[in-house]
Amino acid sequence: MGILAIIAALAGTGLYLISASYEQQVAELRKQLEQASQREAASAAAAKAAYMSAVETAVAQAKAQAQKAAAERAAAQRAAAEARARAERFAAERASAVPMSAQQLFDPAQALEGEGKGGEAVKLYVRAARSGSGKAALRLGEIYDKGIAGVSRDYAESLKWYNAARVLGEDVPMAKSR
Amino acid sequence: MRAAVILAAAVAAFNFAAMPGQFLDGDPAAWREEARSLLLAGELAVPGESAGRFGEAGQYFVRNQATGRWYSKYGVMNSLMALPPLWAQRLAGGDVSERLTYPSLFWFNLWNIALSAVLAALLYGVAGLYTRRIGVRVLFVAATLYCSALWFYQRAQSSELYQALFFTALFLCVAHFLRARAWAWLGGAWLFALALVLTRVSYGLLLPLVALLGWYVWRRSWQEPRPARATLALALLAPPLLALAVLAWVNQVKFGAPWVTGYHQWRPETVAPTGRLADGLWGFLFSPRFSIFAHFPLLLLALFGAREFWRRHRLEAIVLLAVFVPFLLFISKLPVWAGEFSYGPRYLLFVLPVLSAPAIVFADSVIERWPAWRARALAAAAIACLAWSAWLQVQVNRLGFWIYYEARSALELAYSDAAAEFFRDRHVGVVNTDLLRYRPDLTKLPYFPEFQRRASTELAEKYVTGLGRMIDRGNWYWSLPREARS
Repeated sequence: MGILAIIAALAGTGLYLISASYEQQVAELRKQLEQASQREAASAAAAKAAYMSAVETAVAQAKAQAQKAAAERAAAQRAAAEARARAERFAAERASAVPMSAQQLFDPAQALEGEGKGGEAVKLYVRAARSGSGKAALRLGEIYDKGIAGVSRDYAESLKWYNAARVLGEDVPMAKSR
Repeated sequence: MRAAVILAAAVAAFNFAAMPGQFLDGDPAAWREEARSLLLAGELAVPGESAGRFGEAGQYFVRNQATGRWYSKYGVMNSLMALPPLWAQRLAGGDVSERLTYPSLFWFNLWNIALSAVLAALLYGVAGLYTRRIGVRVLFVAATLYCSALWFYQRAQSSELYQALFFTALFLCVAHFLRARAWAWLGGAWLFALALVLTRVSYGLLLPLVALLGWYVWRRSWQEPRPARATLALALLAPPLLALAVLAWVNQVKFGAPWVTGYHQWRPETVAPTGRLADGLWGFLFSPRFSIFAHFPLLLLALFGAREFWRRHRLEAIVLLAVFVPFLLFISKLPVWAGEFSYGPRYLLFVLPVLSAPAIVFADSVIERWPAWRARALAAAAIACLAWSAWLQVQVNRLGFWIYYEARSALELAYSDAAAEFFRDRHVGVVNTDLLRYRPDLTKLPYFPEFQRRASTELAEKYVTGLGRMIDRGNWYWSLPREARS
């Protein structure tokens, strides 16, 4: 009987200890769960804030790009309009059968060259030289001699234009000769 | 000897009266700058700022990559040959220090006259190898100097004159060596071969030929006192090795490596034999602008004497062929066989005076063998041919050195097909004749009506005015206004 009582006491004690440990574990788990849910809530809030900020930035950038594109489109439209006007002017000049003088071609060619538009400048210089401008022929000789932005060196072309410059009355210095 | 001196003096006097009134631009300007450096600073290098202002990098001046200094890309002999007139100018109180300016035209003309006189004496010596008739010798020299493109190059301040002089001297030495078997003459031949190699590296082709001749003469003179084998080896190997060593040293100084020739920095493909051989051969033989016969008609007469020359002077004929044929083939194979801006076959000019030697044999045989009336008829035909050529040369020399190219700019200015046709492959003398004939009214030039249609009024007027001014300026020193004579 005594033995049975001892076994029962031990079993009771064991059961008590087991149940106490279980409750403690459950409490800890509950605590961890609460902490995790708190952390999750915090990170979700941070993510939401970041997301909102990124969306705002993107919207702002898109707006700026749209504004820039609109400005560029407007500038291009203006340039196209000016080009059309120039073309119409040239066409009108041609239609009125008044050819441009060599000087009229030489000045804008120089301006274009100053703006760094070498290829376009050369086209105008050639027209000027073919209209009788010795200065344009000399400049063409120099351009092909040394090369400029958009126009590479060309020895044969350079000599041709130096010769033309001489015939058109320009004094071609020795360093620019054959 | 006295006749040679009188002839040289006559040539000098004639050339003095017919001096050119302008400088030949282009390549010679580069070696004149190098000569200026030699005179002013005792070194070859040209200041970078001067070199940079003259053509593209490598076109006239080459930058030594190791030292960063600039040098003329041409053979150093050219610079040395430009030194005497610069030196004379400075001795006479002139200022030679300003870079990229023309030096004194007068002194350079005098230098060319001196070279022409020496060349005349040498040619008289060459003619003396084949005839004893003084009249034929004098006629040969006169025809060589004035009935050919050589007259242009006696006046132009370029290198063709002294190339012809060096080669004529070399041939004279070789001919005497072959005949007299005196070894001192071989020394002379080596000396002039070295001068040629230092003028233009392609003359290196002559070095094995001279060595071969030395060996041939040694083999043939087994019955006579002759150098020992060791001496012979020294005589045949030392000079070409010395020439190559000098060339390598100059290349090292100027271009930074012994094997670099100066033609490597600018369009090197044009000096490699990669062109179409047929183009060059056709041009040198048949083209009116570059044919050796059109520009050196003595060669036509030489053809008539070729057989007799071969029979009588076989060794010398072989020497001439051994020089002419390889150079003809090599230069014809170059893309720039015509020599860029040039008059006539300038790359072959050095050999043409001596190559005409069979004409002397022909003249002699006409006088000696043929019945009088045939001889007179042939002589008349030959003289008419030479007179026609002399007249063409007068027309060439009357106008500026490059007026052909300047007048031809009508092509670029108005895309004129008629101008293209007018200038296409015509002898410069014929073109100049037309320019002079139409000078009173240049609008009557055959290509002008079409040019005028395509050009603006301003351009047509300026072209006529400019061309007229160039024609009027001419190219005679003594026709220049006194204040314009430098």
